[in-house]
Order: sequence, then structure tokens, then C-alpha cells
Amino acid sequence: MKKSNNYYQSINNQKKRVMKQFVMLSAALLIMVSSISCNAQGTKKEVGQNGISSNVSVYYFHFTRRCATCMAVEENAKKAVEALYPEKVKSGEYSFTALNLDEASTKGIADKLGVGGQTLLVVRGDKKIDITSAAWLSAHDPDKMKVEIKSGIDKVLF
Amino acid sequence: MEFLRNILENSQYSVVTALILGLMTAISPCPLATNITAIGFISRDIDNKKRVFINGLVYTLGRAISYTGLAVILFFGASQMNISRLFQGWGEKLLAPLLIIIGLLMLDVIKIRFPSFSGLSDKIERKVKGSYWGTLLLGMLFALAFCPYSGVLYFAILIPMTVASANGLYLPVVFAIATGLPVIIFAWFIAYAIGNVGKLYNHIKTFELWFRRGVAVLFIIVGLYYAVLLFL
Repeated sequence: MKKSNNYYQSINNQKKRVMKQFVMLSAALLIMVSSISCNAQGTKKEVGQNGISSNVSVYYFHFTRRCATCMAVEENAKKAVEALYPEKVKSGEYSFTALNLDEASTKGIADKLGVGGQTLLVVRGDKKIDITSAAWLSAHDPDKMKVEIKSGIDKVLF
Repeated sequence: MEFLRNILENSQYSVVTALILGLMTAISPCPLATNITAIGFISRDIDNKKRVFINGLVYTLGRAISYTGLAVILFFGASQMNISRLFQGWGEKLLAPLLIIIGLLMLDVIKIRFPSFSGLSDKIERKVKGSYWGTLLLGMLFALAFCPYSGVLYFAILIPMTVASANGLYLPVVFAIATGLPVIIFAWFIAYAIGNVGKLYNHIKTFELWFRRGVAVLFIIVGLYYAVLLFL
């Protein structure tokens, strides 16, 4: 009887040890997973702040007063990005942003990207392609604008 | 404009590109207004055909000095971002008050002793012909008044071609000649057409005085036009 009691006790102890190991392992896994996700969040935040990401941004910088061609550049460039990459624009991977250089809030990003005047810029991470001159010559031609935008985006991707 | 754009896209030679860019600048609405003002200014000496024509050339030389000067500064490493932001951002904004002040100086409303814009009545009475400095200065200033369209043509297209190598530094001169071409053509035309009209008047001094007043009013009107465009 005593022998069988000892046997059950040892089985219980073993069970407890396995449970303890399982809890510890789970805790370790939980800590690991959470640390990875924290790191991921931190990286994501950093990317957002520095503009260094795999996302493609097309920036159009202008002043308050604009010419007819300048407005056509904005309109057709925006349409081109949306027409060429509808899915990616929807998911937020690709974006088109028009920024007014006369506004103080634009100064930071304009300084960072080295923009001094009206500019159409394709940016991905550290890569930036200035397509201002090509875009100005295609301002009133939506098809040509698509070609220029695509060529600019291809250059920052590869 | 479409025709010029086609030539530009197919152009293999940078000199042709610079020339076309200059012509596109010259006929775009904003520099056209300054060029019309300049035509008025340079034809103020309508009794002297040769002088009007030389004025047209001097005005274009003024433009060439500014465009080339800026290109040289950028060639030697000045920050294109800062220079471009300064002129594209402020050039046009300063144009309105500048034109109005020149107009008022020419009308003698404001009396400042300034070699080129000294009182027009004094000038006519004394029969002293001003130097060409005023016209040169006007060309230099008007060239620096970059408008949204001309700013892009100069800073985004011409400058990268120009500063790529020292050989490209002549391109702003070609560009300037093209931007001043309408003024040169009109100067020649006015010199040989309106010049004769002036001579038909018995009282040429009176004609000249009123012509100059008209030019002064033109400056003020164009100045007000820019003021309305920019500040309203």
C-alpha cells in the first residue's frame, strides 16, 4: 500500500514538473512573441518617422500661386498613380501627396528631400527620382504622364 | 506651345532645347506681361530709332546676365534648393511692388534721384539722355522674377543641363536671348514704325512726355495685375 502511495506521489511530482516546464516554456514563448511584435512596432514607427519604408510616395511640391500647367501636372500625376496601381493605392503602399511650399508645415519634408521649388518626386526609402521636367512636358497628356510616373516608380523599385 | 513642346522632346542638341525653353518662357502668360512692360519701357525714347533698338538688346543682355549669373552660382556648388526656393518663392511676389514703384518714379509721383529713372520732365527739358543702365537693370530684375511656369523651365530643365558640365554654361545665354526675342522684335518694329509716328507730331516733346506717362501707367497697371494675382 505504502509502495503504491509512493508510486502515485512520484507520478504527481512528475506531472507537476511537466506542467511547470510547460508554463515556463509558454511564458518564454509569450515574452519572445511580444518582444518580436514590439520590435516590429518600433521599426514600423521609425519607418513612418523617417520616411524610410518600402512604400512608394509620389510628392508634388508647389507654391500657393500656380500656373495652368502646374495644376494639370498635379491632376494628371495623381490620376496616373491611381490608375496604374489601384490596389496598392488602396492598401496605402503607394501614395500621391501634393504639398504647398508656402506652408510652414511643408518645410520639414521639403528640406529633407532637398526640394526648392515646384517638383514632382518619386520616393522610396532612400531612393528618390525627380521627374519634374518629364512631367511638365507631359502635363496635359494623361497617357504620357502615366508613362513618366511608371518609369519613375520603376526606377525607385529596382 | 504644343509645337514647341514637340520640338523640345525630340531635340538632340542642348542648344536647341535651351532656345525652345526660352521661347516657351517668353510666350507664357506671366513673362509675357513683364515683356510687354519692358517693350513700353525701352520704347520711351521713341524719337531715337537706333536707341530703341539698342534698348531691346540691352534689356536682353540684362536677362542673360541674371540667368547666367544664377547658373554660375549653382555650377560652383550653391544649394539649388535654397536658390530655387528664394527666387521661385519670392521673385514674383516682389514684382508687383517693384513695377508700381518704377511706374510712380516715372510719373514723378515719387521723387528720388536715381540715374535711370530721374524725373522725366527734367530729362526732356534738359535733353539729357539717360544711360542704358536702367534698361539693363530692368532686364536683370525681370529675369529674376520667376513665375510658376518659367521657374520650372529654368530650375528643373535648363539648370540640370547647364550645370552638368562647364561646357553647358553658355546655355542660359541662349535661353535669355530666346526669352528676350519678343522684346527685340518689338523694339525693332516700334523703332521703325512708332518712331515715325512720333516725328509726325509738331510738338514732339509733348508726344514723348505723354508716351512716357503712358508707359509709367502701364507699369502701374501690370504691377496691380500681379498684386491682384498674388495677394487677393
